[in-house]
Amino acid sequence: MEGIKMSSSKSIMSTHIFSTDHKTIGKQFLFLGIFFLLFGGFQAMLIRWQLAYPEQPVPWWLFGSIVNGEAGMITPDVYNQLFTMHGTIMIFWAITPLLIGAFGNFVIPLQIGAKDMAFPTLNMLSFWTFFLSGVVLLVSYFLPLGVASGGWTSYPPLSLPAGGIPGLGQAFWTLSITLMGVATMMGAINYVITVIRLRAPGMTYFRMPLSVWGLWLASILNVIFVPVIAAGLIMLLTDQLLGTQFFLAGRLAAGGGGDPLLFQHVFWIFGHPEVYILILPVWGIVSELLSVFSRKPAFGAKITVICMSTIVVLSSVVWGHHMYTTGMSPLLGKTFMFLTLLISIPSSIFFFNWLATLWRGSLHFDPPMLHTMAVIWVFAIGGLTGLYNATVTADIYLHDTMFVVGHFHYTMAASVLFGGYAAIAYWYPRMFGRMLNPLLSKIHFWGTFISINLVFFNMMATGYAGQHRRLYNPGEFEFLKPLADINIFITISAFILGAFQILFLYNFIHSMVKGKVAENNPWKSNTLEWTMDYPIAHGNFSTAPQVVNGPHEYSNPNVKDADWVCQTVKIGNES
Amino acid sequence: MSPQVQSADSLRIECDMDTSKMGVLVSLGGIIMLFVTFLATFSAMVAKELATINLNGDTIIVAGVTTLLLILSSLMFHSSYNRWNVRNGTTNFNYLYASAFFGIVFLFGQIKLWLMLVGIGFTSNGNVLAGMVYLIGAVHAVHLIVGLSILCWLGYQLKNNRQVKSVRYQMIGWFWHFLTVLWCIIFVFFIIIL
Repeated sequence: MEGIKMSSSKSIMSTHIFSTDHKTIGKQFLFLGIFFLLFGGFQAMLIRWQLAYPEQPVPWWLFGSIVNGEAGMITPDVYNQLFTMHGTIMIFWAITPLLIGAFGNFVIPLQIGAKDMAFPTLNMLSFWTFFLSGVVLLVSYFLPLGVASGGWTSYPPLSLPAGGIPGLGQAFWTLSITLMGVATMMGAINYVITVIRLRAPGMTYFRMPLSVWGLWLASILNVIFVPVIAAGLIMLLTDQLLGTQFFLAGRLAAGGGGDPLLFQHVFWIFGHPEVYILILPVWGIVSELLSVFSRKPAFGAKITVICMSTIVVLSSVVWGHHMYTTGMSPLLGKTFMFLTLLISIPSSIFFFNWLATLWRGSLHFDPPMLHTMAVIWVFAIGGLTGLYNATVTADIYLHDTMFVVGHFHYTMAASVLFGGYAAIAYWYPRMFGRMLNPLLSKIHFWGTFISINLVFFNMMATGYAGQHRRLYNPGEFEFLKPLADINIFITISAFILGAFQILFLYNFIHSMVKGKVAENNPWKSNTLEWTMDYPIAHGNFSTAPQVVNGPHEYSNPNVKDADWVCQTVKIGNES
Repeated sequence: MSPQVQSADSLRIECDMDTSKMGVLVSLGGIIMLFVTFLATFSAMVAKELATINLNGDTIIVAGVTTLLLILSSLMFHSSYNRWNVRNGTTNFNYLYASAFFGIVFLFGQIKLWLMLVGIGFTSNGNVLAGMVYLIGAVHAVHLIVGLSILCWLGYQLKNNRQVKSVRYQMIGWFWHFLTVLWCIIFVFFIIIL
């Protein structure tokens, strides 16, 4: 293990830029993630503009002048680029750094009682490699023929020059994701080893907070499956740049050619676990925060952990449900359907554990709790609509419609967004020493909660009515013309959703400077990160904490005069 | 409120061998997954009969000899580490040089092998199986170049009498041996499946 290096002369470079302190790196990931969240979100607004007002000039307040189209309109090519980059950025450069990067870094060592990550220098390299990957992606906006436009999945042959997309945009896309994968691997190795090796004395696995469990399981999935997509991307890159034909077939291939479906398999062997990589940290954070703000132990915490671990295993054998319409054998389709539906059992169990945690709790509706409860709602809708997509017969109709878009935005966007906001609101006092403005936080929450449901629920309705997910102008189809009004309604809701995020950004920045100074443990939490004075020095703990309790000892009758007790304080006669 | 002031010494985590070893093992696990995906894709291509490769005797001999050279390189490194360990920090540089030398010869052998395959008509863009052979070899070679760079760094450190942690020397060895074993598996895999 590397030691924590403290240079005698502290410059801004060593403390804020190339810092090896996990807390600083966590904040770096947070800022980068918020930047990309806004950038990816802006592209979503442009997509919605086109769907509601097809082939009309983009207004000035959506920065219409920078849209590279005829008379300020979004052309079909630009539209393809928009949805490709929106999906790519949101998944890989917004959600990943926001949850795993920011809170994995900030929270894991603090909550397990470690001085830092197991490999601090590798941790720093992870951030800067991630930063570099983002730069490569952004540079592709300046290419003569524009950015990638083959969808966030970039299936070949579409994503290859022979398949119809000219220029280097796709190659930059592939390269940037490969780099991002390297950065993710560095981080994941660190998280996995840190949890295994650096837990404080007494911090057994089942005494770890559930947020650490979620982040740790996500990292295990990362270590296993990121190399899989890396292999696929390397092959795709050689197809794009060196003329190999691994994923070309038929008349597009000069020689015998390969098979485009192989890429789909490789992509989804990674891609489906990726869904859980994104959502597992949220599940952990939600399980944790529900306990904190209900002032009672997390119901069935060990069962929740077992369920999350079961899902980690099952997530690796269900990739085929993304490919029901590729002509796979019916037996294989049924197998994937069965395995996929099996995931609903552990999911339901921990979901009911969440509800049971709330039951008869002393609920405190602070901003983190509001966002946490929103996750319960949106994840319920996302999870239940997933059952239709998992079923072969329903999926053949729903495949590639806006129903799927609505579904995965409920699970991957809304759940993760609210989970991220919950985490930001909860740990903001530890990160910046001040509180977010609670009134602005609540206004932001309600605005976001209402508008996000209006957007994604109605997307599912349009999909059920037959609207394909990647249509440039749905109005060109007679049977979709009646959906024009609902598309306008979704778009207006999306703009409202976007506007409320500006309010969040204002609150986030303003509170950093002018927010109320936070006390050391504003939420009266049990976990170790609240035991130090702010700012927490590099090294976190002056002496290794001795953990004697689990993280959920709220309202314990053996604790007098308080409804919480730190994990390091003995309760009554218990040891 | 001022931050807790801690001395650099109090912050220095004990050099934990098991943590380093575990970190290397997890990293190697990631590399294994990378190559498992390549080989699984290769197998699928063979099963789907997308292309065929008929290796001639010369190419198999060159591939076999280069594989032996890599094994030899690994053995040389092992001897180097053993001597360094027994002699309490002093090593016989000849073994370390030999290890790096055989590694470099292996890389040139790979290039020779690729040229021979191209010579008998197996181009990367005309035959997907040949393309996979080149790709897998190239990705392995990239890892090998990284390994060679680390060997050079190690040699430089030792040559200048700089202290090298035992665990670090051992981990470099693990990586180098791993690349050898990986190549042997790939080689046998190619022989069996083609």
